[in-house]
Amino acid sequence: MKKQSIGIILAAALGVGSLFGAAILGADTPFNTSLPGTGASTVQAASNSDEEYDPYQDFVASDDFSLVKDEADLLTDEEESLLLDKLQTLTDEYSCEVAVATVESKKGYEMNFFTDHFFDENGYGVGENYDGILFMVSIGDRKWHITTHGYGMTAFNDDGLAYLKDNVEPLLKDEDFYGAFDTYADLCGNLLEMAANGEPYTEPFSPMWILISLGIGLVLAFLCTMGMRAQLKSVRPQDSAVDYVRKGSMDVTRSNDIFLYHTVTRTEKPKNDSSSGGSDSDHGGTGGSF
Amino acid sequence: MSDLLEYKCPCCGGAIEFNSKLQKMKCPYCDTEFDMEAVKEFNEAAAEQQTDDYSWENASDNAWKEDEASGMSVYICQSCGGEIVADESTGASSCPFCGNPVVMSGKFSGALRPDFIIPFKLDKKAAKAGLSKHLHGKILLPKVFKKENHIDEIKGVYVPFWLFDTDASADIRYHATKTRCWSDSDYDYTETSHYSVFRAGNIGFNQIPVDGSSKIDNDLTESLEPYVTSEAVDFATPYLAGYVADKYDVSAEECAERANQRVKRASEDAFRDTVIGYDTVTPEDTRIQLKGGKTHYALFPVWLLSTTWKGNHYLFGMNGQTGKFVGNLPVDKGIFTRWFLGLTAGFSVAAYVIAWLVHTYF
Repeated sequence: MKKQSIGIILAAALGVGSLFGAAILGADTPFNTSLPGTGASTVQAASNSDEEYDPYQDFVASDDFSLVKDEADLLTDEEESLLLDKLQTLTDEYSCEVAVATVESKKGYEMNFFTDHFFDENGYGVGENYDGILFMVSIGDRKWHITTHGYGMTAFNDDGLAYLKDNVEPLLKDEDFYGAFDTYADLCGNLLEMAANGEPYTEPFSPMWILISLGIGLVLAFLCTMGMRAQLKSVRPQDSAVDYVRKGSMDVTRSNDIFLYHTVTRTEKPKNDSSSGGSDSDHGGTGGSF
Repeated sequence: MSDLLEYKCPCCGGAIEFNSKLQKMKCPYCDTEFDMEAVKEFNEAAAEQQTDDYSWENASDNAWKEDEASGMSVYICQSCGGEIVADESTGASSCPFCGNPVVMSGKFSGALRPDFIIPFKLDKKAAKAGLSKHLHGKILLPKVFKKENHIDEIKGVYVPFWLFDTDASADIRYHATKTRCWSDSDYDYTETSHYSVFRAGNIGFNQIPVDGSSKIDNDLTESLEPYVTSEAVDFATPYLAGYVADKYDVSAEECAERANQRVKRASEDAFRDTVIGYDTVTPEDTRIQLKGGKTHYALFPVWLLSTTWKGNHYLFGMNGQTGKFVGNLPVDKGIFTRWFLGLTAGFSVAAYVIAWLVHTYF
């Protein structure tokens, strides 16, 4: 009995956890609001007091700050330096940090939560609003996430993030990490330019809608004309003689209901894949698995 | 326990066996498992079910009186072979079923005299009004149908019907199910419980009409129902004046099959109403025994209109008692295509505009 009830509680917790995992973690741990820009000082604190438990240490990178932080070593040195040049140019031109990071593991956290804190604790972002965008890949979990902050949230709105996701995720699935990061850098350049011109990217109205509308039109027209057709048909056989039952002539002399058997079918509930959306109000973002 | 018993599977009817591993009855054919009790109860209840017995007694044996028959003439249609009767003063020139000319074949003789007749209550003007109402608002109807002259003459015809009176004792087995749904964190569950529901009892029917003329489609005459049979009167020839009468050419015995079907269906429906508390109820096995089944011969009033369009023959009818108007109408392919394309275009543009507005402003 005991084991069962624990199991139920665990299952319930997991169920809720998948939806609100980040929120639960946020409430359990001392930092329930993100602290952008505390990166530098936290690094200090972490190295000074090793014996004390530091809740931020999970998110602190081992090396010095860089726009390309390849902890999981997914890129060659040459690729790293090419990418770094590109990202640095963008960062300087638009005063918005465009960064890439890879890690071995997200250490058990929800990917969006991990990425948001990685951004905060390592001092990403420029200016007083810590404007920036960070593309994080956790190779051990095969998860990726893009987090935005400050002006990054304006330049990379929901439509922009969806556009990034559509272009980057297929490359990740092919394990073409350099390709994914390079595409990301190019697209970030386009999106930043559009935002700088005062017109942040909006998703184009898909031509698919022409086909979808046509489909809807066909179905509705079909239903309407079938209704008109049905008006023309009035000859229907009367299979029952209920109209001719003599009033009060019916009586029931025997009635028994026998239960035979039952069948149970079960269908798996659709899993709620919390792939997109930054749960933290200070961050925007999108992500997924590959 | 010496006698060897064979139980039938309530699901598939196969011989069911006791499965010692499950301690349950399991059907080797359909793999359904049952409790001992359920199978036993089912087999006992099924054994009690009566057998079918559909027997009718023809209660009309009226013969024509000499003077009645002498005043009437028989006409035969050269095209469809329809045989109609009219009194001498009325006469007939065209067939009410197909519109072709008829010829007089001579004096009326023999055949059964009707027991009852429901006299015409509605006149030709009412039939014309009924027709224009019937054609009104039908968008896909070919334009030519709306021109009055397209319809050939409207004729008042007494259509022969066999009326079936009976008391029936019904013994019906329904298959009923109840469904229950619940969920846990990973799965949605649906449990369906199956029941065999037995109902037996008595039910009486008064004057179920079955069309005794092969010239008119049974579907059409059934669509004209119901008739108020309480207004039927004993047959007398003066009622025929001004109208033509069709002679039955399908015997009561042949028509009984249709009456049986309708009795069976009506009993299933009526007793189904006493099966309460289930989500689905389907009749599985219906046994009907008729007691005192009697047939009578009657004439019912129908206004008939026939027309031909693009080589097809269309027959409309109006219940001469209640005014119910029926008749399938053709679809004008051109009008249909125009409406279909127009509506498709209209709905598509509307859907596109709505999608665009939603995309732009939300």
